[in-house]
Amino acid sequence: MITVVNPRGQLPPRRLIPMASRLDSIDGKTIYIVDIRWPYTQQFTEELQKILSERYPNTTFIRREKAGPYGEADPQLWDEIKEKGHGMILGTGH
Amino acid sequence: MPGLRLAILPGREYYARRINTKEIEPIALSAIDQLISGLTRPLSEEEERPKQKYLKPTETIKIEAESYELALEKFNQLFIDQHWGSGLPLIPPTKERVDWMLTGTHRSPQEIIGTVIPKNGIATIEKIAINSVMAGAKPEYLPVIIAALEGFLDQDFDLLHMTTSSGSFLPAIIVNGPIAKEIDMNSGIGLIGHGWRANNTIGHAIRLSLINLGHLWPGENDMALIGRLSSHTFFTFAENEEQSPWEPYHVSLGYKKEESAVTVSTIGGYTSGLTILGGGAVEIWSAQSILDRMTSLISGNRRIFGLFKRGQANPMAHPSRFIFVIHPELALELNRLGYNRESLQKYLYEKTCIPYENLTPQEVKGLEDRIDASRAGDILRYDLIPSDRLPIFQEALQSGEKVPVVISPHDIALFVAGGFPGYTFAMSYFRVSHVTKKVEGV
Repeated sequence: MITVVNPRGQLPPRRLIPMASRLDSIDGKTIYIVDIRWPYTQQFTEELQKILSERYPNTTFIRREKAGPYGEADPQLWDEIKEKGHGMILGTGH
Repeated sequence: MPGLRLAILPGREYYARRINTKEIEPIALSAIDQLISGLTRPLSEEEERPKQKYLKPTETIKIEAESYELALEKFNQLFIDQHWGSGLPLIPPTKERVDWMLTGTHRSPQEIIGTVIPKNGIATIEKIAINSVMAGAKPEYLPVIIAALEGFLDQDFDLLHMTTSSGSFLPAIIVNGPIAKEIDMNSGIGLIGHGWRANNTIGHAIRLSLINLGHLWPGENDMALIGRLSSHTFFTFAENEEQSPWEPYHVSLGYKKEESAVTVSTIGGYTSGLTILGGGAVEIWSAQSILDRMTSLISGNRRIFGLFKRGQANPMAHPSRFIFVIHPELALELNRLGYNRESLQKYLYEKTCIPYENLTPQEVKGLEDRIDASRAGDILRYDLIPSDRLPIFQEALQSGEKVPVVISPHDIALFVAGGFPGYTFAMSYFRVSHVTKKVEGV
């Protein structure tokens, strides 16, 4: 028999938070499409906005590019979405 | 949150069709239902009230078998199945062997040197020692392994990119100071190859530490599409201080000669990781012919200019940094010609500047945008021109001036290594992720 010790780095404890409540319908709502600006994500998110706007004419789809590096938060935009939006689609493209 | 709601696109088509809105249309169409569902589908019990999870790690694992040989085989299979190994055979990390490994440092086993991405596992000296045992290292190597990991965990080192990128980036681990000789590291012929226990097992211990402390695994979060070169041991070698005419690299950074240091640096990506520039026993070479290849390599890399687009994370636009590993014969010849490390860095920096008139309008625009973005600070740190270098680039953007292709002469790092004969070779990356740490706790 061999007894060995665990080589894994212990993961720090994480607190899981509940997800935001979902919408009953997107009718009459404002949905943000956020592009993190990885190469060539612009084309995809623009096309997404076009198709969604055509298919759901009673919904406002706003496409925004996140400020700053792709891996970092954009607190100003998050605040704007919380204030004016009802939902968000975040596009990583990577 | 218990988990994000993801709309998964078919990667096989997405990457090929994202060139314009017309091409990408069917892919965007295929995502619509997933997106609307993600926005409107009622929350599950788990999403609404996630259960807090904390799995206490198992401290020891017992492996039973009819013989030691069978237990050893079972151990190796278990560790690879759990994604705790590298694919090479491992030494079982028994408590006795880990205690023996820890005799190599005065540092406390419980000391935490940081957390390792991508999953932020806690790196204690003890956990590093466990992985060092598995790699087949000796206790006297442990301080070097710890120093290398401290380099990776430095705030100026982008370990996330190096270990998870779809490009084949890998680290070079270069050791300076007396410890290199004391532990018998190779700095001569075959310096990045096999056959040297210190070089190979230090590299392997670091590979295993990155896997186990970061919870890293190919295809899960290590996304190197073709893998990484020298993936089990990396490029791990020592500077050939004995045969170098110049002061050791770490001394040029301000460390004392009697101190030891480890430089870790990301290299490779979309190339083989290194480029041979001359030397050897086959082709005729001269100091000037190799200097010309060095300058050609640097000046041919004009990513600092036109590829930059403000706000876009384009890896091809990150300014470069170069490491040149100069074989001793060339270093001696350059020394005879009057060069030392600093004057050679200056020569290469100045020689590779591009006349302003030779820049395309797109390159001028790209550099102007980079300067503006650097001033504003809304830019990836890879792309930044530091404030002390900004005036140089601003003044260079006019007729009659020359524009640097590297941010600073210090972005051209020079080491002397290899034997007689030897090759001079280059390794490059973005200008970040090049850190030197003192070896402590010997």
